[in-house]
Amino acid sequence: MVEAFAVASGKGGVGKTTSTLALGMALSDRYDVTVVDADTGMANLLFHTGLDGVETTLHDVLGSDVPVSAAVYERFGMRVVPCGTSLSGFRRVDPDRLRGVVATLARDTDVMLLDSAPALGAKSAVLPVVLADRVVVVVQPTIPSLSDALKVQEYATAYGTSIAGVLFNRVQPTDPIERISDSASRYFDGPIIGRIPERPSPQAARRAGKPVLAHAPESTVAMAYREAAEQLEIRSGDGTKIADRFQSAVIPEQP
Amino acid sequence: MRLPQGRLCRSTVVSTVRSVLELALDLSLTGYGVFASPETPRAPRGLITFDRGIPGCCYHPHASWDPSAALSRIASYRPCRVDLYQLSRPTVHRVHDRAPKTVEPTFLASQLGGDSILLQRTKHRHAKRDANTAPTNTDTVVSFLEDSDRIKALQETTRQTVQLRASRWNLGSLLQDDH
Repeated sequence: MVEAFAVASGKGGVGKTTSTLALGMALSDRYDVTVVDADTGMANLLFHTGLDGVETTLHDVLGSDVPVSAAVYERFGMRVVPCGTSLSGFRRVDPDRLRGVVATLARDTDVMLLDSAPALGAKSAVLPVVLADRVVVVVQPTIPSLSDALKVQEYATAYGTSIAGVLFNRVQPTDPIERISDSASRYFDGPIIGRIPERPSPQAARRAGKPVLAHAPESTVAMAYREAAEQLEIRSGDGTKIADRFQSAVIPEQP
Repeated sequence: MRLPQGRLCRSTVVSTVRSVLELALDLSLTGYGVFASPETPRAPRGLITFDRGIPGCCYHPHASWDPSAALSRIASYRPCRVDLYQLSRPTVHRVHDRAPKTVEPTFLASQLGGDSILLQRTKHRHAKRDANTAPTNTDTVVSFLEDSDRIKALQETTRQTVQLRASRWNLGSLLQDDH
């Protein structure tokens, strides 16, 4: 059983990686969770998980004969697969190897979360949305973010990927979030699964190299993420299908 | 690229496109600039849109929506004649929503290189603009969401972009049949 979720936003800076790890940690109470840094161009996940010193990353697996197990790190109750930071590592990436990597990872997990790149103008940012079973759309209650979130949904729909939910993040106390949420729900095909308030705890967690649920488990933000994860009903997916979709879609794209 | 007709607010000849980006910041221009070569009037004209002085789209008919190539074309006009037009902010936002590609606020300033004053000014203005437009007032975001025509236009434009990019990215076989 595996269900793959792309966590996507379109716009950068909305807290996508923070949300990916928070949802992953919350889900890891009930499921085996694997989090993959699908933003191969700008590694981010490793800084949020204290893995910035590790030698082997997904870049190495996709660029040489390193086994995928070497880039999988058990952290915070999840399996974390970070990307490296060097451009040369990215250039060595052989996308043909991704099928095997995904198939291997899918074999032993219930939930796979693909932390996607922002900016829908790049194929690498859209691929996780294309390939996943469903998408969690992370959105800030601002016009640019909502616009990009709606664009993410259009990409997902076009490729037959459904919307698992919309997660409002970085909600300011002054935001009329009830009205915004009600109005937004008319346009999104999935439910609004949560409203995460803007607080200092995610930033502090990032500095500490930990997911917010590990750094401040009792914080308002952590509790809001747990409630959001509760709204995600995990379905049984087909890992082979995911791997095949990866295989058929991945074309080398150099920066 | 088609734009609503704006109100002409400045018409000038400058030595480089950098001067226009500075002028747009000075004027806090919301609208667009049309760039032409005064020496070769028949040369195609380039276009940059602005939201409170911050560039949004950069377009040239010979570079299509590649902003870097479009900027190179525009920057090759030396001297450069520019006409600046004003539009309302909602109109500019609609243009940006529908555009196949917009640029990061500092993209053009970075591409032009040289001194960092323009870059710093752009960054500063961007931060200030976003602070000023943060959804602290109820009406801003809610009225956006209640403008169903605007949302429909955004969705329709995105659908077209998805189709175009699917072909470019070799993802066409994964598109659903009914799209």
